[in-house]
Formats: sequence, C-alpha cells, structure tokens
Amino acid sequence: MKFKIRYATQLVGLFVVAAVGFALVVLVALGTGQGWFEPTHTYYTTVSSAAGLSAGMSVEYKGFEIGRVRGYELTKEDNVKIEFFVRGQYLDLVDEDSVVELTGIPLVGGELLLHRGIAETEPIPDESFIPSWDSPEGRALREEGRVVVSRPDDALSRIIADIDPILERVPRLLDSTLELIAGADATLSTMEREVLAQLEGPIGELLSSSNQLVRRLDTTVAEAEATLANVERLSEDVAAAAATFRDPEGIIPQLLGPGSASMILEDEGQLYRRVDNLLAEMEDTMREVHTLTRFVGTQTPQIAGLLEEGREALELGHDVLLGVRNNPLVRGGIPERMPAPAPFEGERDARF
Amino acid sequence: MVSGIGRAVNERISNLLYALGFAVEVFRAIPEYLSSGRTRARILVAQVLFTGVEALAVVAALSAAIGAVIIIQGFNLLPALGQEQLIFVILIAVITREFGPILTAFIVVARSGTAITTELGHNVVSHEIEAYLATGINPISFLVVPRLLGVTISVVLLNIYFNVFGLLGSYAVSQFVSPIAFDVYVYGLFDAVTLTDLFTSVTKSLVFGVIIALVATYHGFAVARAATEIPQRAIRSVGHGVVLCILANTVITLVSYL
Repeated sequence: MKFKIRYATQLVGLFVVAAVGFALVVLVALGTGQGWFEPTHTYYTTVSSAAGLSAGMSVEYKGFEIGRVRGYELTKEDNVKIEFFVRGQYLDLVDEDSVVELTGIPLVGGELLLHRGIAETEPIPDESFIPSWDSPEGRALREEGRVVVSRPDDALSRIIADIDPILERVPRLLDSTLELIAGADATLSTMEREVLAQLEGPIGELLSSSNQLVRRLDTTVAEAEATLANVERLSEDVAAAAATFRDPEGIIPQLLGPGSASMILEDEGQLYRRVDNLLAEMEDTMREVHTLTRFVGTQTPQIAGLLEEGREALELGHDVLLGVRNNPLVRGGIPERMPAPAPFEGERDARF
Repeated sequence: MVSGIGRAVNERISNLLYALGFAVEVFRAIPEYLSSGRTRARILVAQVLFTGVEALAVVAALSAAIGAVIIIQGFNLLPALGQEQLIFVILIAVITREFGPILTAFIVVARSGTAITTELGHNVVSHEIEAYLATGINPISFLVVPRLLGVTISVVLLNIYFNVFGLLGSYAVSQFVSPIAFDVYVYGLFDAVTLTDLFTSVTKSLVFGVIIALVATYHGFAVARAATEIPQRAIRSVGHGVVLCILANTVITLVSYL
C-alpha cells in the first residue's frame, strides 16, 4: 500500500492541526497586539467638520496608538460627534484637562491626537466629553496653559503644526487691530467735541468759525488743485502741437510742401481740363451703349425666330441620327483600322 | 428563432432550479452524514488527503512566488512615493484578502473539481448509483456530503497555508532586496492586518469550497449514460466553478468594504 494511503489519517491530521494551530497563534498574537482582550474606555468629542475623519482612525499620543475612532455622526447642533475608545493601559493619559485634535495630513491620512492636561488628575469616567482643539472649551484650556501640546515628530506634521498657530492668530490679530483703530478714532472724536465744548465765548466762536473756514478752505484748495491739473494738461497739449508745427518734417510742412496736395491745386487748371475731357468721353460711350441697346431691342423677334429654327433643325438632326442607328442595313459601325508600322525605328527597338 | 430562445431560457431556468434543489438536498443530508459511522469518515479523510494535502506543494510554491513578486515590486515602487510602510498593507490586501482564497480555489477546481466530476460520472455510467439506491444508501449522503466537507475544509486550510508560505516567501526575498529583521517584519504584518481581513479571507474560502464541491458533484451526476459525456461534464464543471468563484469573490469583497 502506498505510504500516503497507509498513513492518510495521520497526514490529514497533521495537515489540519498545523494550519489550525498557525491560525490560532496568529489570532492570539494579533489580538494581543491590537488589544482585543484589553478593556477599552469610550469617550466622545465634537468638531465642526468631519473632513479627514474615518471610522477606525487611530487615536494617538506622542506617536503611540492609544485607541481608535468607533464612529461619528452629525448632531442636531450642526456639529460632528466623534465617539472613540482608549485602551485600558493608556487610561491614565485621559485626565480632566485633556483635549483632542483632529488632524488631516495629505497622503498619510488623519489621526485624532490626544493632548494631556498639565495637572495630573484621576482618569475621567467613560462616556465623558473631551473638548476638541478648536472648540471654545479647548481654546480656553489652551489659552490658560492647562494643556500639554504633544505632536508627532515627522517633518510634515511639524510644518503643519507650525502653520496652524500662525493661521489661528492672524484673524485674531486683524480683529484686535481693527478694534484698536476704531477705539482710537472714537477717542479722538470725543476729545475734539469736548475741547470745542469747553471753549465758550468769542474765542470759542472764533475757533469754531476758524475750523469751518479751514474745512471750506481745504475743499476749495482741492478743487483748485484739480483745475490747475487740468490747465497743466491743456498746456502740455498746446506745447506738443506747437512743437509739431515747428518741426521741419512735421505734418503741416508735409501737407503744404513740394509734391503735396498744394501742387495739384497749382497746375493752372490742367487737372480740371483732363477731368472734363474724361467726363465728355464717358458721355459719348454711354450714348453709343444706349443706341446699341435700342437696336438689340428692335431685333429681338428676329433673334427669337432664329433660335426657334435652330432648335427645329437640331430635332430633325436627332431624328435622322436615331433612324441611322436603328436601321440594320445602313448601320455599318466604325471600320476596323489596320495597324500601320511606324516608319521610324529607334536604336533601342532594334532586334538582334 | 424566438421559440428557440424561449426553449433555451426555459432550459436554463429549469437547470438552475434543479441545481438549487440539489444544493438544498446536499445541505439537508449533512446531519445524516455526521451521525453516520467510521466508513463515511474515512471518505472525508481521503477527500482532504487528495484535495488538501496533495495540493499543498503547488499552493506553497505559487504563494511563495507571488509573495516574492509583491515584495520586489513594492520595494522598487513604494520608496519613490515615500510610502515604504505600505508594503505590509499591500501584502495583506493581496495575499490574505484576494489571492489566497481565489488562487487556492482555482487550484482546487483544476485538480479536485475535475476529479470529482469524473469519478461521479463513472459511477453513473457503471450504474453504481442505482446499486446504492437499490441497497438503501442515499448517494447524496454517501458520495456528495463527504466531498463537500472535504473540499471546503481543504480550501480553508490551503488558504491558511497560502498565507503562511506567501508571507514567508516575501520575507525571504526581502532579505535580498532590502534586509529587514524578522520581528520587525512580523510586527509590520500584525500592525497592518485587521480582523476584517482575516474574516473576509476565511469567508471567501468557505464559500469557494462549497461552490467547487457543489458544482463538481452536480456535473458528475448530470452524466446520463455514455462515458463520452464525462470529459464534457468535467470541462463544464471547471468553467462553472471558476466563474461562480469569481462572482462570489466580487460580492464578498464588495460586502467587506461596506
């Protein structure tokens, strides 16, 4: 009996046991590595947008995966609620002042970063809310310096991390600047009103009149400046025209100089006479054309008769040719031509 | 022409319904088979031996070669994109999720599917099926169920071996292309694989095993009386088995990403 058939049961048993054993080892190792047998603690946070978010996304702290995103949904308050879990061995990292940040890195994907609070407290209970980075609560915690900002150490993340605070500060800086300008403007207006109010009597009236006069004077000066600017432009145009006139090769001397239009007008009537003769010859030609037209008009019936006779002659010719073609006696066809040898024979046509 | 098309459609529907009825009958016979004696268990062992153990060498060679090709291509292409770490994700996606189940199924279809169809076809031609019926033995329970279980178990186990040899083969080749420590390699694989990957892979193997066994036994019993029908049925068994496995693979892959 063949070895394989004789020990079939053992071979199959080994085949099955090895495969199942390997599968079990892989499952146990995988489960241990990915924390399947570890208790997990669920928390949630809210962000303004789900861009870059996905279920199963890792929750990281200093580059370590401490949990994963379970899911997310749009709330009635128009926010995105993210539910995530943290593994039991990392529970101590989640304290009262913790903040989570949703980051999206191109090509690499996104992650949910956990930033711990400065004050070490007991871990917060399951199902608690952890503020997100951009939420009012998270911003307040950061501004109060109660959060340890921990970011991944790759170059792309560092650049994004450096840009983020700058972009965050620019709108606030602009807002502050606008508020400062508005405040200064209001203060100056108030001061002006108060100073004017305190000045009473002739001096006050004089100052008030002087202020009005100064304002009117400003307006007048502005109008005068505009008028002067117009005058200046006009003067420049006039100066440019005068320069053109003075130029020996300018447009005016070219119009009036030798070979110009003035020479045509100073030919003692020769051009006029030529034009007059030309018109007289054209009149004679038109008269002859008129006479020819009238003659053709009188000859039209005769031309029509000629055309009619020609058409009848063509019909007769057509009938004759048709008769000849249909008559078997007179139809001889084209006689066959006998090929005549060419009298000239070239050197190349010589036969050997 | 229209009546011809109508007849063809009717015949197809009739065959499909018959095949579904056959499948239901096979599944109903499984408890009867499991409660039977040692004789029928030996048929199952023999089936696993022929389908699984004997195909192990082919599967190991094929999977090691595919793993090697993936690792070579990955180490050539991915560094240009700065994504070397994706090699483990690609290995898992290609070997565990896709190639493992489907290539194993193709090998089993080609080797065992044709063998089962031919064997059952010969049984029909030599009137052995009528003899079983005459002696009160249910041919479905005695002939089909052990083959169904044997092929299904073999495909699942061969898929596990395909993964083992594919991932080990890729590691072996990586030592020539870009040497990496074994524990780092294993850690990278464990980091990339998910429970969904494993579940999808095993589900595919189970479904493919059932398809291959049902198609092969169906075509074996479809032989009417002449021995010349046997090779024709064997060819159709391979064609139908491959097509159905590809369709099932597509459906399971789609469902796994939902």
